[in-house]
Amino acid sequence: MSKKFSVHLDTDIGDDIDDAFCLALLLRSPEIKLRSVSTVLNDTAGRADMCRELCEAAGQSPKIVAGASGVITRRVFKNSRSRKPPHVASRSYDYKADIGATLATLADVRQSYDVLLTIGPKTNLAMSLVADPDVSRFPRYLAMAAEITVCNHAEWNIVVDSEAADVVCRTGMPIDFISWKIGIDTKLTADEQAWLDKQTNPVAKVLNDYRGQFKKTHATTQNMYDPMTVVALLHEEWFTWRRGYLRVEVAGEHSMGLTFLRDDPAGPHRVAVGVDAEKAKKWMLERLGD
Amino acid sequence: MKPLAVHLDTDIGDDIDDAFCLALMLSSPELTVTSVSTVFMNTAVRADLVSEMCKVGGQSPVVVEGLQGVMASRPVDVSTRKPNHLASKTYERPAADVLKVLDHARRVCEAVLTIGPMTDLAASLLARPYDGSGRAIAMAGEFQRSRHIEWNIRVDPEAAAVCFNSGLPIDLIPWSIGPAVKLRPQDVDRIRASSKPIAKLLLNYLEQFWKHVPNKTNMYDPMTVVALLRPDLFTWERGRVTVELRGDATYGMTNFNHDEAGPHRVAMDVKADEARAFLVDRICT
Repeated sequence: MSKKFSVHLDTDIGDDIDDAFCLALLLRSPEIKLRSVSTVLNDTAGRADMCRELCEAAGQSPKIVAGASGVITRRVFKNSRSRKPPHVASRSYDYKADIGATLATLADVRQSYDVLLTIGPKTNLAMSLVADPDVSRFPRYLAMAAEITVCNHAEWNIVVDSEAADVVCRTGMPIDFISWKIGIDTKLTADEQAWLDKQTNPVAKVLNDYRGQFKKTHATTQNMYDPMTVVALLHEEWFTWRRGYLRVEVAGEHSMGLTFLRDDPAGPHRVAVGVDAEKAKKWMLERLGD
Repeated sequence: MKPLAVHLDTDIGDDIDDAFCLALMLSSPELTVTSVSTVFMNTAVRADLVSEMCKVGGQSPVVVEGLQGVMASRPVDVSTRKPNHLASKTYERPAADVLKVLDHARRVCEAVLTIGPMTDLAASLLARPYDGSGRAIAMAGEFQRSRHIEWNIRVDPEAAAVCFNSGLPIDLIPWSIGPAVKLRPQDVDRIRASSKPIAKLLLNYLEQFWKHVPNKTNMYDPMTVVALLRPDLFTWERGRVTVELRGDATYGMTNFNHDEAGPHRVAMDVKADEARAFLVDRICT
């Protein structure tokens, strides 16, 4: 096999279940060397516990840092700062939120990694870019973030910290966005969920434990927003992309966090607006299965 | 049955659909057009169009030139805008105060129809806040097409916000209804073949308009009249409409939140074939 991609994942695992799918998919992908993980938003230590638990199940030991629990924006979105995670790790590894370690890790990512994935609010990355605005060297960057086709839908990862997203988008560096609608399009069916329930490999076991907890508050819906960043990294041809300049509304009273794409073939941003959902899900589930 | 009294507030002279709206009102026996106000920029030129149509349509409502300016904090650039169709001559009108005319209309009319920027109605609501009387049907806003800032709102978002925050019951025909009921070539052919004076005048305006905007026939504004007379042709959702006034890229964007106690109803869908047939039949026969 050719050289593996060295990857960093920045995640708010513990809220929606798709972060756990994304991390599990990274851990089960032979093309990927997951070198480090950072967590973001609220209980980042608890999120780091979950990352550690999944990584241990896969027999991998990337560096894991608990990142920023707060947000840059002063306009807190709904219950984003107070809601309890619907799934947690089975044990604590005594992580503490450590912004210094997170920034140092991201500085290393920016200088030496192949790929950066962010699947939560962009607070950690924005702080890194404020600390060092030079993006002349930057890994390939894919983000689960934004929505440009569904009317008036402010996507969670953007709206929770719109200012952070704005900082990241305004750098002008190349970013591939997996938009909110892609996750809806790749929602798991009941049959697919039932099939996954039967998988017994160590990573699937931890994932299924998290899924079981998650189902107590979200009985049927498992939308695959975040893992599509991994699918897009390895199979971008399964997606329909629009290129241009993505802009974040940060001033609006009723529209904070809405995102707009100004189409431009020379723009640095690509937004996935369509996906071959069957291919993408089949590929993902094969990776996660026994 | 006694006809329903209605008031129309219009920016007729730009898109052609305002003229279709007034033609439909004048062709509907269930309605009496008691007054018409014009709004935004060339309100005298717009009032001439109204006067000409009403004369041909056989009605003589009060026609009043409304506010030319806007309340918008970030106005659109209008430096190159000119009317796309004109009346054949100028008309004398008795002097009238748009605020007085609208105040009266809000008290006595079945509905105030606004099919342009909402500046006149907002001014009326500032002069006399909503007191439980009156209702409006507005062609305004958009709630389905992503990132679309509808023209009537964008021209004067602050005025729209005054109206939507006033408590006045307002039914909205959003932008996306207009293309759904676009006239087909055979509809235009029917108008061309009609011997009705109002249809002939409408065709004259349409042909002037097409010199500037060839073949456009989206029927946004007449749907306010259809909504008044045939509300069953629309799928309505009740709630509250807000207007973005602070946004950088979203200034003028409309937002809808479901609320069974809300003062607003939005037409989310239309039985397009029936609504279009209603419009064309009334104008042609």
